[in-house]
Amino acid sequence: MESILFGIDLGLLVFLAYWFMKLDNNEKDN
Amino acid sequence: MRDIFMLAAFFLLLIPVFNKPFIGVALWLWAAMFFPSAWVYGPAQLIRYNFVFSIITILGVFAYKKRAKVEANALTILITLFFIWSFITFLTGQGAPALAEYYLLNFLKIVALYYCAAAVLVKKIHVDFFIWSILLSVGFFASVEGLKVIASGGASHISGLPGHVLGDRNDLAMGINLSIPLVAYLREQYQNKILKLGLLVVMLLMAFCVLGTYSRGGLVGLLVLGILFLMESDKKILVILSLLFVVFIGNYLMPPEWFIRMETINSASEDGSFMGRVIAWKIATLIALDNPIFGAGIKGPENLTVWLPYALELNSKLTGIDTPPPDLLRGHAAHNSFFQVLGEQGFPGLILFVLIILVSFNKLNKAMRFFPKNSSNYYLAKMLKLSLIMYLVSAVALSKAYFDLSFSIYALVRFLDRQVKVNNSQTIVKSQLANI
Repeated sequence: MESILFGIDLGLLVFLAYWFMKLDNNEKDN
Repeated sequence: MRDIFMLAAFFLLLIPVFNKPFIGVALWLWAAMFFPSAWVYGPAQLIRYNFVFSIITILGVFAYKKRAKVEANALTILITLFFIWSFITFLTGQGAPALAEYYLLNFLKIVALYYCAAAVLVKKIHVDFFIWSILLSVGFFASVEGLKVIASGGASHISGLPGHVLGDRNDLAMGINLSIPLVAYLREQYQNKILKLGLLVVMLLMAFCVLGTYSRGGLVGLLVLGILFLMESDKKILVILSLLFVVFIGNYLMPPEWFIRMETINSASEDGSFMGRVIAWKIATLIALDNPIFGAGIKGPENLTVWLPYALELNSKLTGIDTPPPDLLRGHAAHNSFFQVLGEQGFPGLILFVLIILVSFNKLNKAMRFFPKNSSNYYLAKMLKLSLIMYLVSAVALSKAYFDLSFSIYALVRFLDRQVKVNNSQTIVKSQLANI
């Protein structure tokens, strides 16, 4: 159970890192 | 299994870290608070995540296309002076060399994190991701442990990961209490109802984790936080329902042993643990009175050669509060951030430490007056103020003068201060243009 939550946490971290990188690039373009 | 997750995440994260220093600094904080090496067992344990993220970020700050600037302002100057003073007192101090060096180096890393965060957090989305990194480290650990508290009917005694900055249960409770207002800030930034509900659940689990630490200071902090949320929040019904939920479930779940421990808060003067702290405060005061300028240096007061002469004459030298005989076999930590700094860095260090906190409050009040009440900057200032109060409540009972999370809060205060200045100058330009 703990390992699954650990995986979800890391997955969310990776997703958000790419998401915020995209957001920052979009803001720059505007 | 965890090693595969960790290694995959690490290599995937390197791309955004190399591209955006604001992601690098957030992951630096994440690695410091999450302590990935303690979660894995195989080859993933060999990587120094914190070191890798920090080095890439520092290089990014200096070599980025649009070079980030560490601008001088009151807070940055005070933090710089505080570090310089701690270095000087380290040189003149009497702390055990290896231990003092270790703690000074840790403080240097914390100050470096502050500089980098202050330089690269220039937009709202940067701040949001920085706070997400706290949620996915401290918030994650607290949520998992909060679930264990509920599943075990409160029998589970929670403490942090061994060897971590939040390893001690009191330190963990402090870190969680300080992070709850930041999660509340994130919750306000999104309209998605599922996300809002999820973040509310995380906040409640964090509160249960604090209960599960059996930390009396943590419980006091949680009570203060509840009252502050009730006073400050515009959504009082939600706050009341959340508080009632934690109180009723906590009351139902926690075993008699927990209540017996918490009741000792009322009889602190008879409590050995509390009186041990008073002894350490008295010794820190005596050290500072004898060495008012330089103190005893980082980890100096805990060195037995410094501690012992004061311990032998404690009650004759400092009368007023009677304390039981002090430990003559080893020196103890101050268990109070203010006495910690006083004993280690003398009165100049204490003044700088207090000024950093006062200037932070001043800047947060300024931001709250400047930004409209429905703006995200206003809400950030409000929640940072709660976090800072949580830090102060816990700092009374813990030696946490050099703490990653408190310096991260100062970096966020620095961001708001810059936002006030930028918006102020834009307003002035607009009014000048209107007058032409």
